[in-house]
Amino acid sequence: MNVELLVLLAGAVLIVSARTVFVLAAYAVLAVTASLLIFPSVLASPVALAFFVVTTLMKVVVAPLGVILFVRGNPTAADLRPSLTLPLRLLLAIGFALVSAAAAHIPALSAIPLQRLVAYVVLCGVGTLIVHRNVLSHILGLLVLGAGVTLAGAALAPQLPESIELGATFDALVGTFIGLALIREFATHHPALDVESLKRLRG
Amino acid sequence: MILLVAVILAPLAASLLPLFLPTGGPRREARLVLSTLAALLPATLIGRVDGLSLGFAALVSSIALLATWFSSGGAAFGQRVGDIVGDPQAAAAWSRVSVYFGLLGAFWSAMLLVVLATNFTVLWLGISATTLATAFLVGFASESASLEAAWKYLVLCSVGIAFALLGMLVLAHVTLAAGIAPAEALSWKAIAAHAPSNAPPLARLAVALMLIGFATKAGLVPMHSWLPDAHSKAPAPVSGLLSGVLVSCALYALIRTLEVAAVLGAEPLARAILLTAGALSTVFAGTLMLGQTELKRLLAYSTIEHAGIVALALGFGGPFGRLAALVHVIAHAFAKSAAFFSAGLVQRREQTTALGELHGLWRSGPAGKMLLATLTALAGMPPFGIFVSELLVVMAGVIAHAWLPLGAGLVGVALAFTALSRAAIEIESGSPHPHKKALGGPLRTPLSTGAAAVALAGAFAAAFVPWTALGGVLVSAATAVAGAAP
Repeated sequence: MNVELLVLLAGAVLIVSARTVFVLAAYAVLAVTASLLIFPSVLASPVALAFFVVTTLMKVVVAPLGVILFVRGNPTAADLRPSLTLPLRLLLAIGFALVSAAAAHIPALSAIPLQRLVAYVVLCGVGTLIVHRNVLSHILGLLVLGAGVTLAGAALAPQLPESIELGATFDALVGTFIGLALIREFATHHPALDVESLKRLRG
Repeated sequence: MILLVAVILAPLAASLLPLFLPTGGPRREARLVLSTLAALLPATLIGRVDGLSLGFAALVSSIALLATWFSSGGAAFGQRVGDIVGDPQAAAAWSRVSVYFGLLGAFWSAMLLVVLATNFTVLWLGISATTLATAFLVGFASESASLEAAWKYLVLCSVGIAFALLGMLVLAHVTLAAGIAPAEALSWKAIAAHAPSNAPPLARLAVALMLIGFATKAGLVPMHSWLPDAHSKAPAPVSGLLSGVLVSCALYALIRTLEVAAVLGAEPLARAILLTAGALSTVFAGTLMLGQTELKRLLAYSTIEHAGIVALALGFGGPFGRLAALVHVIAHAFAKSAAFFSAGLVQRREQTTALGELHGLWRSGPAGKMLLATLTALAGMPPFGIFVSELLVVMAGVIAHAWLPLGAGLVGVALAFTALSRAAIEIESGSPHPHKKALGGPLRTPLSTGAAAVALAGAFAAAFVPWTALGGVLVSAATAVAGAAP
């Protein structure tokens, strides 16, 4: 299957689906695809390769395992509680695909490789954060956003693999360990992991 | 290089080394001595780093040292974290102070990494490291509201710094295309020396993304929504550090971005972004301050207002605007940390920070008097540094003929002045509640009160900064940044 089509479908599932397990599967597809696309750029530097291995382990193994454990412990967390209706989520996914396609036609961006893919992955990361109210989806959204930024680094500045992978490692560290540790505490107060409870702090 | 690494890691070491000593007095005294030495170490960098980095490193170390003193004053009274922060919830959740001081040391080191960096990669890593260290400090009480505040902080700041990283990568694409070596592609000095002034449109995209990303960490509107929660729910010394210096570190990142924007010909866009965010921040925060019913939350919104004033000063541009911004950062850092330290002392005594429940603080001891002084300072009244820096900002606005942002800024300042004055009158007048008992009894050492007093003295001394040797360093730094413009 074409890589762009695979990413397009995975991104759409991230936005449209309301079930944690489907979104997790879509995230895994995106994370693995992004890692495979980034891999050639890190081969030139052993330091970058080491960071890449650590980051990939966190994104592809630790984060999904953490999410699965939370869902097993809190069955109510299997529902991502989208804040938009299904038709609106579909429209948003289509909108992201169209905006990404349009990015390729912007003269300033036309010379950058993978520009459509990067724009789509970044938008899907932000979309996952906005659309779902379950905090587990926020972790996945942050990691997808991080994958998009790392992909952008591989496309924009392939001469700086160490800097890019160091950034990716920090992103993954924040999302995976700090995020999951906070969710563990959060779950004791809000077992459904519904971010709506944050609203009472506003204003 | 080794010296630089030693200066950055010293605060972390100062927080970890005392763990090898017995608990209680020896550990506390070792922590105080080592953290004081760590705070003095940036002085060894005179002549080795530029004035801007040195000034910010001194500011970070001064406030972080005061926060350590403040925390140790509480810890002298017992080994429970609740005794440090004056929060019974925290006391229930944490029984050891070592984790608290370890995170505090890591936070301090991360901020030094930000301000002593010579390129955007290291600066970004420092900003990310502050998130790693402080996410747990914000959620330290482990109760629902502080965990939610920590969550908001983590998610919104992570999104912000992800956009900053994206901007840096776009910037690297531009500088690499201009022939700058990969090792120096994100060094502001190398960019200033070699980058073309007629940079491609991608340079403007890079600058915009970086400004948006770092402005999120600075708490500028519309990327501010994490700040009031995180700063009001964290323990008082941590709130002082977050509001006083972490926001300053993010503003430092904005200054460095502006430096690069000037070189790449993207300064008009950068200034427009800063003026818009600055005007929105001062008006929005000033308006919301009027409706606040909780002391620490009021102070948190005041941080947004002051970050907005700094953004306005940077947006006005020129050496004068940048000098005003730097003086305001220093004056605000001391005043805000003093305010949060005083609020912590008041919270410890009164067991609340609800404005409606605080009365007669003027008669209840030094903390109440210091709180009044800090609220006066934050309202921009003489004789404190913020009065001088706000005058400088107004003059910079007049010189720049930026009437609309200047007008919005003045409205915001007036609203904030009203809110702070009303709160000060409300909590200082009347009679104190006789039934209130300090959490676990009175402080046994004057260290916490002393730390708040020193911070307050700093807020006063900042008024004289423009006329001192430090002012000369700041003028040089501001002129150097402004001089980078083509």
